[in-house]
Amino acid sequence: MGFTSKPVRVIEIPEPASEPLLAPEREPQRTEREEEAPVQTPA
Amino acid sequence: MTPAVGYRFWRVDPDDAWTRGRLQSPVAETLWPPLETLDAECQTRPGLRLARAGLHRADELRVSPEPGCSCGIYAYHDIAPMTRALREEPYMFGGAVLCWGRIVIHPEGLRAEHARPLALCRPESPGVLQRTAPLLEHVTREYAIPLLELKDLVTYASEFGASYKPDPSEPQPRTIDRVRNAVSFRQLVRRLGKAIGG
Repeated sequence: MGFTSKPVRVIEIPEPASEPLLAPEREPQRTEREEEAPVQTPA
Repeated sequence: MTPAVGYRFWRVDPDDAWTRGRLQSPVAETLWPPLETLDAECQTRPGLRLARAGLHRADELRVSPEPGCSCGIYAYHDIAPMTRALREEPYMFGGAVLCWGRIVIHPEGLRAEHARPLALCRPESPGVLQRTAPLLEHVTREYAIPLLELKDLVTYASEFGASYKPDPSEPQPRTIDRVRNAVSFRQLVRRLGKAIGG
């Protein structure tokens, strides 16, 4: 991308006040440690 | 003042381990961070198209984009230049962005200090759409933005901001100003002297 013409104006726009972007909800991922936890068996 | 809306394109390389399917600026190779604002940073170096960039990069008080440089986050005012570019390269996707901070306005588009993607648009070619569907789904999920039909992109983006496309009747920089900006006074005198005196 690039513009061949000269700039015509410079403006300052304040940061939009809208809410921040939110990530879609995801299923919590199991960690490797959880998956590898040893199964305890009764003695 | 309403944030500026613009249209641009990104490269998304599914096979690049470094970019990992993220939006990448096709020229500067900047990666757009998911769910965050991208801040402009002058990456122009002497030897590139605008060697004058070095002058403002060294000055901490001056921010990107500088009117006299080529730095900043680019976006077109209209979708037409964006769609033209999409036909030229595979894995290039178009969409809308929201821009704010310092905005340098050109007749064909703008250069912004801050920006974030608003939406991506579906490729018009059925073949490209089929080939890239999983990738686009991944990207839009990562950035939490919608994947829209091209015809709906402008309407959707207009909900967030406004176009700052200059009025065609707006006065353009005069020729003498262009010459004055392009060369120093000493160069101008030397060139005039050569032109007159041979």
